[in-house]
Amino acid sequence: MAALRAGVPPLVPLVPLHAEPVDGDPLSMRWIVPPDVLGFVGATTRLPRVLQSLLDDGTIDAVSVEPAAVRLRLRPGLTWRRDGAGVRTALQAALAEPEHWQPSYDGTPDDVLRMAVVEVIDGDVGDYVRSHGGQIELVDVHDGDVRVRMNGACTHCPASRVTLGDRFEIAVRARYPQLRSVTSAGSGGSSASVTDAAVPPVGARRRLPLVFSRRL
Amino acid sequence: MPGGIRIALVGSPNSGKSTLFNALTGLRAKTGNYPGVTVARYEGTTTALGLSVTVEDLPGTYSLDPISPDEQIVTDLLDPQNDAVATPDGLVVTLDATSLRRSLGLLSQVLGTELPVCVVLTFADELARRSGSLDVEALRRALGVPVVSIIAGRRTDLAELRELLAAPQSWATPAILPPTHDTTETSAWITSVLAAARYDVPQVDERTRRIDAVLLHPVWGSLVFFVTMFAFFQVIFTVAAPLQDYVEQFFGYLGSLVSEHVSNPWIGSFLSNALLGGVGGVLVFLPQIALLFVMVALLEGVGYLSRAAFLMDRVMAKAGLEGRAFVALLSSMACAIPGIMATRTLPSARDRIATMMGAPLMTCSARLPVYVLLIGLLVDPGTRFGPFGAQGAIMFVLYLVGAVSAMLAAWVFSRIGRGRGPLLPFYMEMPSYRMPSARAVGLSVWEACRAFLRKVGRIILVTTVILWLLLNLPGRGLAEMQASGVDTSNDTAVAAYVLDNSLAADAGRAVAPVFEPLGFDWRINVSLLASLSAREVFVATLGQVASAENPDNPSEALKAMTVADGPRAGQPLFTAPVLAALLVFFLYALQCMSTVGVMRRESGTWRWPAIAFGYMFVLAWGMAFLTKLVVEAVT
Repeated sequence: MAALRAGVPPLVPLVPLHAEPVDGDPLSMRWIVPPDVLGFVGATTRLPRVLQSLLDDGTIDAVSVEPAAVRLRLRPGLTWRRDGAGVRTALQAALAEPEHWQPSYDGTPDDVLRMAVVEVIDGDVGDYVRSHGGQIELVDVHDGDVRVRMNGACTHCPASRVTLGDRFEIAVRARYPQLRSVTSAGSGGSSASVTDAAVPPVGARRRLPLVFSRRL
Repeated sequence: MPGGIRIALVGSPNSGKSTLFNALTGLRAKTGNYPGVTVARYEGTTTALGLSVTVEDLPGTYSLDPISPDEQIVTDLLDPQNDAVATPDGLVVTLDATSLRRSLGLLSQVLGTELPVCVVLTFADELARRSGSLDVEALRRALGVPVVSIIAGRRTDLAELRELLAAPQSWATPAILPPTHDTTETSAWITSVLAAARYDVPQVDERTRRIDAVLLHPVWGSLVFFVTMFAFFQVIFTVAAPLQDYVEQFFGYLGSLVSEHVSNPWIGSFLSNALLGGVGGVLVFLPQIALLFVMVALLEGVGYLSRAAFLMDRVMAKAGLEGRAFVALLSSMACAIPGIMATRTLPSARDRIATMMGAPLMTCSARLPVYVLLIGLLVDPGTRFGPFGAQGAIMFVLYLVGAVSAMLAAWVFSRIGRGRGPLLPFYMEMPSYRMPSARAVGLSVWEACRAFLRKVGRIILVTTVILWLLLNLPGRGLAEMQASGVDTSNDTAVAAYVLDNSLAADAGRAVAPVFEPLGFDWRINVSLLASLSAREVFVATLGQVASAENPDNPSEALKAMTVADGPRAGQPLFTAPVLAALLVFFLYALQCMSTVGVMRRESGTWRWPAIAFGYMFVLAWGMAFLTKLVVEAVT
């Protein structure tokens, strides 16, 4: 703080932060943050003062925490393009004091993991699987282990393990780095781990293959 | 649609911007200048979904906080408040996929202009080769603007971009602009966007790293540099020689046509003396100029030129100059004009002026004809210094002295221009080694040859014609000549009499007192005066004089010339001391009005060209005098 007062930029870099809009809801914005900054998901009861004051004066009217994002909603009548810069600066400052964020529900790390898995299933990876006539179903989450079931066209697809190992696991790990394993509970009941043997564990790979996805 | 769609390409230097521009517009680009300044403006058209789209290639820039004139242009153009230049309808920003982190800083500022923006990712293939990763779709989501990945030479990629170009107003815009006022916030934004796009920073290309370990080494690197430069000149002088012979033979053939078919003495003299002797004598050097630019384009395309600049930066930084100044000086080896224009990349005004003051001392291609002619008169082709030919050795020394003098001059001027300023960081890109594109090399050689031909067609042609008139006027009557005792039946004697009593001779004699101490007579003087327009004219003028005195063998006439006036009248003119003095005079003198003009444009005042002309003339005269004394003492 002394450095800030003296007008010298702080030596500690700020928490990386950028915005991605929420489809169909121009007032809400997902502020993408590194996973792990806050360590919980869901609503909050108490925020660091800079952010709390915006909530109190009605500039923002909703805050919820996601595995690797903070979702903020502006009061109707405001726009992110015009009024968002101040909110960003406040959020950035608030993220520097994670100890002052109070979740309204004291969950476990598995709650964060569960939400991460749901996000991935509802997002790009789920879209990809659905485009192949398949479906990923979350069976359970326990102590950093995820069990999913590959349904539909995936059931007998030889590539489903690769999909699960590559895309699904990378996406979940991006939201929850402590992920221990992803296991596929086959629809017939037999289960197989995708994080060992056939597919090398993601963390062991030094480099990811270049992915250039194309828009339709 | 009035005016049509205007798109501007924005990007940092070496981000593949010009390659994209060429791919979009083909060779239909036209060049011009921005109002008020002389930063080259490139514009071309392309079609997108049947619509005609004007594409403008803006100068490369690392940020919109202008620190050099090039960057100022970009900033002005993107500022809707600035009425001097039309604001484009949409901006295409090229981002080098191998150095995204730095490029995103520029992008954040460009997004801040609130103009429609579309991102083109370049060198994605290079990123893949280095096993980097990038999720283009995620990058598009994080940036909130269209992102197209374009790999040079892939037509389908271009089709996608063309479709976008048709409707810039429909491009997605970011829901909130990235932070630009606080650099730490901007860098947090960049980190976050890169993480979202799963961008894996490619480690320095192994091949590039290994080559650089040698080429950027203080000892080995410098050695390689000098060997490269030596080879560079060898190639220019040896390979171009046969090509030059062909051009000479061609002009010889034209000369024989003239003497066969033209009977009118005035037209014949004009065609063979002025056009073929003067202009043709200069055109002979086209192969050398083309070759010079092939070599420079190859060195640049491969990525070596940036390394050479980096190496020289270490030396020049000690002298208080930066590496980019070296690039400008290196360009001056072709011609001081592009060299002076290259000083635009220098952010500091002090360094710009200092480099401009030194640039004309680098041995430009226009000195080549003069040096070749004078060295030919000075020593026999057979003379050798050890294993090296004496002619070649003298040429090498002239180049070396020119380069050293240029750097010294730049150093002196950077010293006396308002004290010692801080050296700005040198942001030169170190591109990976790449295969140079044949198209880029071809284009740059074509541009250079065109510029040379234009110079020959304009300034050299005009001054040669004027000189031809001055050398042949006023016409002398037969009665007058007979009264002076000239044998009017002897054509050569008549020509010599006309020449000796011409307006040009009067001019040459008028300045004689200035050049008398150097041993020059009126013929050299008038050639020197004429070469103020362009150095090559010196060769053209002496050629005209010689062929008038002995039409059958002008080069013999040149060797046999005797001093016309004064106490030394009748003694040989081109003695070793005089030739050496002339060479040194050409080494230093600013005998080029185009350079003066460009200096005026680039510095914005007549002050600097006047200073340059003055100091170089004094230096040229003084050094020539000194050389003459030394050579006289030795021989």
